[in-house]
Amino acid sequence: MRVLFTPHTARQHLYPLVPLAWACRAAGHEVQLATAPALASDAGTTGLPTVEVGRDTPPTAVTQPSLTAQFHEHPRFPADWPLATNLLTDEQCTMLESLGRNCARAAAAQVDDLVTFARHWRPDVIVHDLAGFAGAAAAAVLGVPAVRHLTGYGLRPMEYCVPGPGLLPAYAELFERFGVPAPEMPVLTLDPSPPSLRIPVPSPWQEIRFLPFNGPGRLSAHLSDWLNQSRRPLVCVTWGHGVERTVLALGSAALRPFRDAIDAVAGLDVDVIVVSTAAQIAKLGDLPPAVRTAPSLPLSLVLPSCDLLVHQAGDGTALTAAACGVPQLTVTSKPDQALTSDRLATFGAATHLRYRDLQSDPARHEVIRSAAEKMLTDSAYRQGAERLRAEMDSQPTPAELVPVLAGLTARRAS
Amino acid sequence: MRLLFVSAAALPHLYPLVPLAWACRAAGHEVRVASSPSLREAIVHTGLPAVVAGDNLRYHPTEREDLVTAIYGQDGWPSGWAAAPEELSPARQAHLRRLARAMIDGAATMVDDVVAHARSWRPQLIVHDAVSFAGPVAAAVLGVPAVRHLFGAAVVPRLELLSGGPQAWYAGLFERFGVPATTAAALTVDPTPACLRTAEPGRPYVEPRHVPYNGAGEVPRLPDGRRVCVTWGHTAGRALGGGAAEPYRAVLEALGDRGLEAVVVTTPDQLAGLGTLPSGVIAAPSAPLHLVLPSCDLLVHQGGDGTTLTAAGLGVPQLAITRKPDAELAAGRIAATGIGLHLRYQDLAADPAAVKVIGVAVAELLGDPAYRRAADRLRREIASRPPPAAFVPTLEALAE
Repeated sequence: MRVLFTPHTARQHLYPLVPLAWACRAAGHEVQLATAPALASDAGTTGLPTVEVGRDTPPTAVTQPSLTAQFHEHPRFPADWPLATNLLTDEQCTMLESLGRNCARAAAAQVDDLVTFARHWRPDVIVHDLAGFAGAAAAAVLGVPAVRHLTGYGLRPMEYCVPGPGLLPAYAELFERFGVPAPEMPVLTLDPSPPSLRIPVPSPWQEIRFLPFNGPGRLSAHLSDWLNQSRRPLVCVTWGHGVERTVLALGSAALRPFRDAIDAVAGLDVDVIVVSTAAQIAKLGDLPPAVRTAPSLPLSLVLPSCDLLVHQAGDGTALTAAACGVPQLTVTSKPDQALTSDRLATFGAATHLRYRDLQSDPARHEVIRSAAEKMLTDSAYRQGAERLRAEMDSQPTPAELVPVLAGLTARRAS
Repeated sequence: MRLLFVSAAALPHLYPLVPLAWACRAAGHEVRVASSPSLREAIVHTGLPAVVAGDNLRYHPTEREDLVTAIYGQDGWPSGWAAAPEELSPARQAHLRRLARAMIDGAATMVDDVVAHARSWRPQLIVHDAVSFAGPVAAAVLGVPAVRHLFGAAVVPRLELLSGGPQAWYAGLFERFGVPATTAAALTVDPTPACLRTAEPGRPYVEPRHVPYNGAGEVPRLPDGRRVCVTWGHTAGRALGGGAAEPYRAVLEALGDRGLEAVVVTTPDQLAGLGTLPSGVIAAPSAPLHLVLPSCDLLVHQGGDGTTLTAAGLGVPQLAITRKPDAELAAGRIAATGIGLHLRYQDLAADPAAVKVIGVAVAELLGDPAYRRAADRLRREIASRPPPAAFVPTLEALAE
């Protein structure tokens, strides 16, 4: 079988697809990865053969900085809002729809070239991340199954009108330009959420174990020794990849929660390791002397040595910590992050703080610090995190999902 | 389960491990890959975490030149020499001992860090390429199984065991950690199809399908049409620089004389050494070979193991032009199984009619359908083997 993987143009959308792509290749199938040029160098560090398709489009943070700002200054969304979209305000509905429209805009710059490539290579199935709309369109044009791979449960399928029903016109247009109708639902949705945290999507869907792939990693003997030495509790602070885009819209203000989190935990009797890209670390300014930085080190290599992760609650970061069995203190700014955090907190594996509640509080470092301290001293969080990891360990692996993909193509052949 | 993969510091040793490592990761296991610093970026581009061990093996320039000259200056050895290395001349046996020493020196540079990492990360299993001796040492120190992963015909004979037992240098790698030297793996993984082997792998062994990993890279977008692919692998270019391309200039000339189109797959450096490409020749710099070969009727290459297995898996007939004794092993099997022909660079270099000789071989390979049929039979045989993913449960059982 030939499997084409088509992520939206951002690392956090590429990375969740990688273990399934490896699984397909290791099972002897042919695998290729089609991305916009901007993602090609990251795609090149997955080991998968990559084909560049289409043009890059400037990120929303550049074209619509006010929208990015709105996502950080929004009126609070109702709890579990995907299950109660009737409670959303008009403004919130518009915000959510704008996510889908922006993905459609990026896909429109890719889809012609992607369809040309796919007609040439003839994949049997196309796996796209939930924001990779071009892959869904290419599958429809070729008449092959489209598989939608979620990134977690914070980001929700975004091709729909909110509160619905119906597909966004900008999404449907990606299909209509080739004269094919846009299907309401993909042939299959793969959901990497742990069962206790999952927000259901309509059938057909299939769970898949989240295996962290956080980008390429270089582990020196020196760093490895440092991570493994016996010591004070180790707290990791990271802010994900999305913050790079947010900085484009909000400037250094986008990094304030990150910096506040670092300063807060640095005041505890702990060791602190900051995991981020070298560029983000440089923008954080001078850090307290006890803080160690690890530029571009995969989180999954660091977390097994950590007692707590403080982060922004992006889908990939939260699920990586969950897979490593590490308690999480989240400081969120966006609705998807809050959704992720609330469910983690209810489960007993996290504490959720909203940055909007903290940003003007002169005692915000103390608030974050005392939350961290409580989590480090109360073993219930560690037990909750272990319970969550055990739940994920029982989910079917990407390797076990390969026959499911093969089954989709067989059904089509018969 | 945690698995530590250990590779010697060269791409032909790393690449065969990658599909099995991916299989283990995709099945939920933790995987790390250790090698010398010089291999770090190549590991990073597989997507797997790289454990950087020790320093690069550094030769004195004259020592290095001497070793390269010795390797590439051999005359033609008898095909299948590996079956009875003790029958080789004393000079050839001395050459093999020298190669063994080079491999053991390579292992010595990384073994301390590999063992230290293994002690702290505590893998339940170590998978090492056939000549990465730091792997069996770390496994012995931890008391966990070592899995020996082969990469083709050139793993025979086991140079570290020449002269009837482990060489003193090899045993010394173990002795520095106070463990007895072991030479038998808990399991051998051999992706080489039986007909391309020069000897049976050590027992017990499993035979997964060879799934090519030829480096991360861009999918080549080639113009339509059928071609002859020309490549010379990674090793010769690193050892010889521009000189590695020499016999392939004659190949391109021979192809041009016969009006055949060609695609050259090599690094940008090596490509630059070729100068302006003749008309009818296109380049696919650093493209993964397995993505170029499906549009090719023939592969002309240096007799490298990974190259041979990649073409075999895709059913492409092969012309091997070898320049060193280990390559002659794969090339000897290519010729013996009827999937291709074997020429020696040493003969061609001395022959004013070399272009004509190559042209005749190419014409025979393209004109006689028996080669294509034999290659297709072998392709089907390889495809019938279970993929690497099918052996993850075998590794799980070993680690218990």
